[in-house]
Amino acid sequence: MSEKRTVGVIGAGSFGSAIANLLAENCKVLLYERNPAVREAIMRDGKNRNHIMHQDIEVTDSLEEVASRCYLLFPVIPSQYFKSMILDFSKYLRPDHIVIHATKGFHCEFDIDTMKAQDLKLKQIKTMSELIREETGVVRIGCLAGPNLSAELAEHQPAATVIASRFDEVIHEGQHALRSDRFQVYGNKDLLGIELAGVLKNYVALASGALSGLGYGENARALLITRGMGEMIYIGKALGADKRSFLGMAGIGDLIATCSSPKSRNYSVGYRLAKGEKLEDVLGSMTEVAEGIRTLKIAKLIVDNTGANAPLLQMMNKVFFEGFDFDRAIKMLMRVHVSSDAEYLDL
Amino acid sequence: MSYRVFTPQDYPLPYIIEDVGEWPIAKLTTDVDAFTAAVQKSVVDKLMKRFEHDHNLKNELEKVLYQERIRLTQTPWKADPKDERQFWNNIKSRIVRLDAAQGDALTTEEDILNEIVNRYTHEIVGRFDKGAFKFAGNILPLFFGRILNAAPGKWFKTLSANAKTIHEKIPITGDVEHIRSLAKKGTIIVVPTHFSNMDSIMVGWVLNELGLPAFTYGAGLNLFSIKLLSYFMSNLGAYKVDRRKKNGVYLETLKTYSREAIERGAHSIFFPGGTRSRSGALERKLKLGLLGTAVEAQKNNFKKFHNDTAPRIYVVPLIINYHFVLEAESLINDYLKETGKEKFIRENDDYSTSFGMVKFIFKFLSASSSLAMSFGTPMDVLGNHVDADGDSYNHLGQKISLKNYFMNNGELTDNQQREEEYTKILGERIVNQYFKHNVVLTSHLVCFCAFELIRKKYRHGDIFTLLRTPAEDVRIEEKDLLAAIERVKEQLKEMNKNNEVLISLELRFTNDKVIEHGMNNINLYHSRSPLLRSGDGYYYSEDLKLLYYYHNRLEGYKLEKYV
Repeated sequence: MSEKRTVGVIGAGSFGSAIANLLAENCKVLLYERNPAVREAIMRDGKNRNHIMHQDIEVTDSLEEVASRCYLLFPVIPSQYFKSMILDFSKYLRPDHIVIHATKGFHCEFDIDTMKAQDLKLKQIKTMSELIREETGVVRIGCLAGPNLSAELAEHQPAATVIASRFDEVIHEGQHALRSDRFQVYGNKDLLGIELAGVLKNYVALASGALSGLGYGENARALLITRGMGEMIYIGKALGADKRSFLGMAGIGDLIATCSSPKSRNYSVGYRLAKGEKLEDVLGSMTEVAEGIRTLKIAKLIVDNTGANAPLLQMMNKVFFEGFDFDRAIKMLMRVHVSSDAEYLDL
Repeated sequence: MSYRVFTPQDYPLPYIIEDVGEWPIAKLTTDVDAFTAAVQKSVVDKLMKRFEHDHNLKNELEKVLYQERIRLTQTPWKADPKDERQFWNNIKSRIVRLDAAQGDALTTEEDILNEIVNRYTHEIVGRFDKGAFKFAGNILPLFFGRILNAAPGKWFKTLSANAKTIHEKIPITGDVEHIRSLAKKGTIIVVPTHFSNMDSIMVGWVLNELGLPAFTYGAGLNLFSIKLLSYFMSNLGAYKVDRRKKNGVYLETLKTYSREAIERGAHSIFFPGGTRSRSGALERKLKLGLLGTAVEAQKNNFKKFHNDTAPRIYVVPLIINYHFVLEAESLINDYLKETGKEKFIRENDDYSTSFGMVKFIFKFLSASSSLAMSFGTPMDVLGNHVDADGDSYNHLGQKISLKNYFMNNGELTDNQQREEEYTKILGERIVNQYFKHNVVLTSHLVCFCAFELIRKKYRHGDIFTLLRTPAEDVRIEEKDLLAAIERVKEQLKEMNKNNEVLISLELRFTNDKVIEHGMNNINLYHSRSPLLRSGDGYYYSEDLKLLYYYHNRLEGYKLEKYV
């Protein structure tokens, strides 16, 4: 057998570390991290946060090195830093690179706090794959999304994910690099749908945390998850995604995981807010970014612009940013006129 | 980077390769046996491999036979060879024997496949004859020039006292020198818009004016029943495409033929819209089958040459703008009839005899006021910009190695699905260029504004209801039309500054002159005028469907809100 190839991971955050460890079971991994302290900790202790780093992981501070040594690249960094990273990376990237990102957020070319829905052009909101396509010469692009809580991956618990791409080749490469006895990898051709599923589930997770914070139980959560998925389908369809993508691992699968787990960042933000903490305080105390808050604002712009049906999203914006009372919001949501069950499947 | 700009007097430009015998297409004819053998082998290999796993080759052969027998009875053409029935009967009995002789290797599925592909290849193959080319070169310009100058259109007398040369009547825009220099380095694929049966004649003419070696292209088999046309086409490099045959083996043979010709350096013409635009709008959905052969050929070139010196394939969009389209009435009727109903549009013959064809061309050239031939910028097979040296640059201006697109993990690999996606990307780029290099003529602008005004004024019901409204009930005021033209014109000028569209010189006239020029041109040919002015200052249409057809040419630019 030939020597193991080297694949690149960009970003040694919690999820980036988990991905690097999964990859290291099949490949050599070159892990880019810009923070010297994190690099040093990995090199010195073989540890990063709660992850014990695989011995085949090498750390670097050079994007150029990653691009020149690896054909297969996994950027795993928060959405608001994604563009500056990809701009730095662009000059080293070539058409023979395959890029599979695992970032669950939108990129916006405008200030999300001042943008008005009627002035919005949908093109101004980009998924990460669109950003990669626009800012680099790479065409073989994919994304990775699914129920992958970093803490459980760190404990080597079994899990699965989805790799989506227009290119079969990207899916195969990703599966080949990531699959193991503890990690199953499904393929999907609807890149946009899978990216949207990964992003939109963030706000449903916020709501789920809030439900727990308010002391509600599993009936309420099941209601939330089911209707939340329906809402995601409405928004996804408005943007041109395939509804089936929301019924798979990256849609309902990820929803169940993030909405049930206090380990999820978005969940804990919702939980603490419902317990009465202030948004600024909650966000100020977190070491990593909760994408859900940004997603709430951006998804509202999309919904107001396209007229997609999303009462939960609307109500959460009121609660989180307009000082609306949680209990009142829930009462109003319970009064929303409902049609038949699972009507979103007819979209 | 700037290229030399040619004036009408410069045309025709000298051939980039003087010796016609050295033209790629001439060499293809010299090696025609090797060429067809290569096509046949490639098709058979590919299909054998495709059916290797599921043992369904026999199934496929039976399907081909079934479809061919239906074609024989349901849509026979007079151009069909006499021995067809006999051939397929023979294939049938051999397929039957296949069952009886199991284990006996006298006849194999591969043999039968070979025989069918052999027949298809020889049916498709075109040739190029130096003598016929020279003959055409002597005859055709006379023919063209004669009718053009003998019968100037009506508006010439009003706008210009001088008769115009063909090159003044048909301005050629685009980086012609760039295209010429790329044609010396690699293989050119010209992808024109398709509005009229005149297109292939006009494309052939303009490429010859550019001094490029003859191009090969697929012509409908039905056209070969016209003797005069058949003589020229069969000897000037056209290959035959039978649109009745939709079976997998035939389509594979056709695609392989195209790919193999490109790999052998034959410059080619594809009409990526597949068929003439029925609605009159610029094509937005392209047929990717033939286009994909360019992508595959490029990859094969990289495979054959192990470094970056592999011959390149360059894709050049060409937008043909007519003030009017002779077949407009039947096209728009097709469009309205077929919208949402049937998938396939029957190829109707607007001319089916030599006389009919000559009459058609004569009508076109004599009535034709002016038209515009606009070349887009040359691209590689991924739709990237290429410079004068043929090197590729991506949308960020980064110089890239084209070969890298076909590499995985450091190695050049075959991957059909990847190439299909690349073809889609190429298709998107071609459509972008169609919009960008489309030349807006006065007639397009006037019809667009007039129809949108009508649509706004009579906004009850759908487009079909509107088009059924008796024409005499529909009219618009002059001041509204003038105002709409002013607004849309300003927007077009703005878009022109941003390189989003081209506009013709006449669009710089005053608004009433624009209307006059546009109307004169569009009304030249049609017996019922798309747009007329009444004595009391109103505009009306004798044929709303035609007005709609010409209006559609500016669809897709989001200009509606300016009317």
